[in-house]
Amino acid sequence: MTFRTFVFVLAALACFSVMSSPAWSKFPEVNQDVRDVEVKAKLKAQPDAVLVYAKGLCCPSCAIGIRKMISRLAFVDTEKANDGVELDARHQLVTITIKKGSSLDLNALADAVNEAGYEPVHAYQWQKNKVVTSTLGSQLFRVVP
Amino acid sequence: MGRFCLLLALFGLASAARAEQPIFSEMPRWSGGWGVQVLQEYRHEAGLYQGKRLLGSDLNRSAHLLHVEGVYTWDKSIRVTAKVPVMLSAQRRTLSDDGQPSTRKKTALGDPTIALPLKKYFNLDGRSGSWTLAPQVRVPGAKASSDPIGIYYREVGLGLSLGYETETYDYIIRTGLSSFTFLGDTPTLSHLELTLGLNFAFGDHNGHVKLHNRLRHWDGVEVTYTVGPIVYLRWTDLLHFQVRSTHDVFQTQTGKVHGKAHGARLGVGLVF
Repeated sequence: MTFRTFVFVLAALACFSVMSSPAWSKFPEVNQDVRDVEVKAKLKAQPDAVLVYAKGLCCPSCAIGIRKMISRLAFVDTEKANDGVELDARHQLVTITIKKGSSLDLNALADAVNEAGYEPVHAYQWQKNKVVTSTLGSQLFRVVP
Repeated sequence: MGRFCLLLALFGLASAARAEQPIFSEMPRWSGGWGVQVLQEYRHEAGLYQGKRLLGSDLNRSAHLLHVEGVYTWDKSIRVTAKVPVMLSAQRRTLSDDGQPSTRKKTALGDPTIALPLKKYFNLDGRSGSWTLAPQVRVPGAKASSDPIGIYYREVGLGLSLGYETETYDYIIRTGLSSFTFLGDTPTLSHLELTLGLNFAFGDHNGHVKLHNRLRHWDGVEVTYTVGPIVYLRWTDLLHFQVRSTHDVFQTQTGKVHGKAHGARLGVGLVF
């Protein structure tokens, strides 16, 4: 191995070590309080919709799959703009317009988000003037005042 | 056995040609997704060197290339990509065997590459990313003896790349190491890449502006540092665009190669 090759390998390993450093996990993150405010505002504007917090949804291009997977579900009103699925990458929220008279299947919704490469965490609905949260994949409920 | 050990040793080194995978290293992340992208590239390399000695500043090579590339994602963790480059027109002014300058032109198929990117995604609150391991094979698109331009290696090559990327709503960072070893006389080619970018969005469209850095090591031939901006735009879920330019800002030669290259690439992608 020549000296030049050795320097190159060393530079490559150093670069990789930096990029793998836990320091990158200190990037600014959107927290649940910020998201709760946004959820409430969106559901007040569109009470019949369902919102999903898809963890990791930061890039609208990479998240095209979320729209494709969710719009295939029978209860989604694809007649609406963007096939009834709106992506909010800033808050990691997906707004789904439900077809009138359809019943919502949260498990199918969670599976669709998973197939798209993201982690479904919560689903939010507007019921009796309050936000009702479902933890996707379980039966836990939380009411956001 | 020696070649196998060499391949393992090269695991940590940078990789041949472009580590970027269709579609514009962005998608499809979802199971069953697929896409096609077409890129036009214009490239010019000035001068011909024998080691540090300049043989002639007018001994240049320029090319107009077309890249047709496709991807299919079986599952979010595994996809297959294919890249087919075509030399629409290429011209090289170099020294003939008698030491006199001569100009040669050629139109030909490049060397196609097939890769199998394996991805491990991670999703955090406000950040997402992935690790990628991509074994790949490159096959010659024409005989070496029939190609006087020398842009493509015309040998079977085996490559391996390792990449890491992470993205927030505002930033994007990518880094990658890859290496190609050839089954003939072509020396091993390695790349180390680092891309930093800012995301933007307006209306229903989004994209990013990035600065791409690449260190290229061609064993026993050259070391080159290339830098250039990339602008990517998602117009709709179906239609995507990318414009980039590349500039060799540092080069040291130990073999007989053309000088620093400058180029531009325009791409259109369709995603399904």
